[in-house]
Amino acid sequence: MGEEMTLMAPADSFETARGVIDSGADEIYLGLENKNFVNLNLSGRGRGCNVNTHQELVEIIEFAHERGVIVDYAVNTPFLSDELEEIFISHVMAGVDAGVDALIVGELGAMQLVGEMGTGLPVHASVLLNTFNCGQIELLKSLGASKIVLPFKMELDEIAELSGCGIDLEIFGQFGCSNINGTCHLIHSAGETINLGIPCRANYLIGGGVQRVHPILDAGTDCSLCSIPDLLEIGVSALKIVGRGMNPEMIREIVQIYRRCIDLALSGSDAGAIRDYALAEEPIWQLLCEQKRCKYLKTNISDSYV
Amino acid sequence: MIELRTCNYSRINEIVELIEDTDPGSGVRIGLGSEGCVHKLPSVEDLVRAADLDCAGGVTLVTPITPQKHYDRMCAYLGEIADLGIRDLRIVVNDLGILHSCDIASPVAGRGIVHTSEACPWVDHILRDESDYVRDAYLQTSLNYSRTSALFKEMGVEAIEIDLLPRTIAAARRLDFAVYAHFGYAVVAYARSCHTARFHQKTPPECAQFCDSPMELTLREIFDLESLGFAPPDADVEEVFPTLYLLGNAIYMRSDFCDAAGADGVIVNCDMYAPSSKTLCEMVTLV
Repeated sequence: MGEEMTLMAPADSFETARGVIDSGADEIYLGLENKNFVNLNLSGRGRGCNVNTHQELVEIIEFAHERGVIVDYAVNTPFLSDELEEIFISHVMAGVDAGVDALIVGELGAMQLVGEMGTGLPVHASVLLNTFNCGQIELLKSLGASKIVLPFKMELDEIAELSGCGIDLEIFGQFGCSNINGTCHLIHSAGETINLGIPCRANYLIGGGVQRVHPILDAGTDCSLCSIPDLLEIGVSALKIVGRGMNPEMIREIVQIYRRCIDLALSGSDAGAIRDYALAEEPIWQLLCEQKRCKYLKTNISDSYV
Repeated sequence: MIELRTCNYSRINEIVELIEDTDPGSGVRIGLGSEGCVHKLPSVEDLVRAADLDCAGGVTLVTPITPQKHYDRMCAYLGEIADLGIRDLRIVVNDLGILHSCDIASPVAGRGIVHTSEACPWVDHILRDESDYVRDAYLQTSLNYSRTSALFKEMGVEAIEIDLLPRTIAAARRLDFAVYAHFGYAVVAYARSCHTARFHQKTPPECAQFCDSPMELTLREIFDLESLGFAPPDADVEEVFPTLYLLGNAIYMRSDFCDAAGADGVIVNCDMYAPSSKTLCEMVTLV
């Protein structure tokens, strides 16, 4: 059984960074706005989900480091081109100069480029690279990755198997996409001025012989609290909360709950005790439990994994 | 080159009849398999049968995104296929792990690993305020980045598959790869949790019967992030949000763009759409 589990939380401002750090995050991840773009960014997220200025980034890093918290810099654009390479290099260096501790990279050529840049920082392969198997882990290791962020939809047995690949794995704890992240083009929260909501969680009229309104694309898995003991058992060392651009208060409360539940698991509590604690502490978990959006337990969603 | 593709071998007779009725000349390939679902991999026997058909100008095997629990089986399957030495076999790979680890002769990189920004239905809205420089840079394929392209070449890739979308095909024409374009439907997303299986409360592969034809999805209510509830879409959302088509664990949108000039081939997904002889003849003129 693992003896520690890092809790990773999102930040998009000094306020959110302070909130999640004070709530118990061991590591934070963030992106930085870039003046070359209006709505797009190189952080895997669009406008409004990133730290606004380099100065604010520096202040966040100082605050985090004073408290022993690691800062990962998200430069995980899933798309790069020759024309954008110089901008990307400058963007990476802005984070390096500010003092970030690791780089999260989301594109194969960018992974190679970052390796050649010789920043000396660990490189994490983003969820946007869709690393489903040990073959891809070997590829990413050969390109210099030191940690792999696994896709949102993985089975415990698969995670256990991939734990044997000789590289740190990071998995998602709270929230995440319905579709395979790096292949999904139902883009939202990217600075749009129209209200697309979350397209995969929308209600659709299903045509043909069905004629039924249904959230058919909604396969969102939102919680992993009950699985923390199992995840520790198979050697998962980092649990990640999704939420750049989300309500800071909600993210802070989620981080608090995960912090306490990880600590409970590390002190020997089982899944039942952890669940009871979460339900007593935060009534919103009742709703999550009723919806059966468990990430690593058997549900209707996991039953339909290909 | 025209390829008629299906992930359902029981459809092979329809495809053979279409080719024979149309007689479009040499070069109609038959494709088997799926980009996103490992359970739709053709049996070795079916692949061999397809390759032996007189009317087929070659056979294409499509291999899917491969989660770890299927990985060893997929590698063994590809090893078995390689040992058979099937004539004029082309293998499409949609998983970087498979591409990196399996010994495949001249693999074709599929849409699971070649990304195109234009597959976002509202990409023009997302790009509305960006400079021309950023917009042009963004509206390409992932292989228009020379480092990524070089890595694919190192892994033996000589050809790619893309959606037949105007700016995507224009970008692909600049690449040093053979380009095969998917006619009619662009892939918007793949899912691990199969939306079709889940809707029908089936566990893959018991859901095969529901993968014969796509389901048409029209947006009725958005999931609003402010209220965390459903709400009717505004008119400006309805304007950009297309009808989606769900087939198994892949979501598509319709594309009426037909100009495949410069591409080396056009692929028709016969599970999405049953082409007529007339359409097939027209397709021959597209490339």
